[in-house]
Amino acid sequence: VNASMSASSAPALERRALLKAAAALGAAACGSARAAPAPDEAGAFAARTCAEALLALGGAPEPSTQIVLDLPDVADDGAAVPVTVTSRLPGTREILIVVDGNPQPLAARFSIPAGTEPFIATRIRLAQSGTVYAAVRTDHGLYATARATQVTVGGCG
Amino acid sequence: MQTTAPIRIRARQRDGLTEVQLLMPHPMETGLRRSAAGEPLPAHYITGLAVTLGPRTVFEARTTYALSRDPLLAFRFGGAQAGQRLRVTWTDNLGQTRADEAVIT
Repeated sequence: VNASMSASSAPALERRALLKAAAALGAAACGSARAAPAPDEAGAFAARTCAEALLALGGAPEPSTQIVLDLPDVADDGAAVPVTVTSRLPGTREILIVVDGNPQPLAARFSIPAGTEPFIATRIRLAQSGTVYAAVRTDHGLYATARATQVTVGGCG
Repeated sequence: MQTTAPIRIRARQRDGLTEVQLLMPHPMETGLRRSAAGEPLPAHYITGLAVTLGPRTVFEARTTYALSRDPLLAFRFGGAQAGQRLRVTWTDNLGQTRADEAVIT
């Protein structure tokens, strides 16, 4: 525990945040992504915490290095933070953006029909500093990557 | 009834893919803010988006007020040609909707 607490590199921090969110799902996550229940979209959008949102989406996502989440390390204006997500996972069906500091953590779900590239770029609101997750649903399950971002002026109030 | 400005659609062929950039004028009001007079500002934001090429849906999204005001979106898809028409439709939480079209160049 001490070793992981002292790790200071950004990727370690992101991975830890993701594992923490996954762990928060506890027993409900129940093993592999493949065994996850059918996603409950209404429940995911209604969720008030990241863990609830991810649980409704189908359970604890598996951390993946094949998802590239690009957003600024420091966002001066939380009202419009540029974000891009690129998935290198085969069979990407959906890209989801989840923000742990927002009152409604699930920000958006983008469906990627066959023939469309697994890539999106947009601008989002971040209420406060925290972790942003890019989750990807493939034919095989739910995967995610995480990034910590500092927000100077929150964008929801 | 369409009360918002037209969706700005840029769709260009590049390296065999169609690159799409959308700008959708919309207040995207969170419902968490108050006016200068202290009145709560009701939530008003886009909840759904669909982009179609004839009968083919090339992009779909379910969105919340976590997208910024006047949302920007970019994506890419294959299998289209210059001259085809792309149609973009959004719906918001008040039941308003807007659709606009552009030709792929």
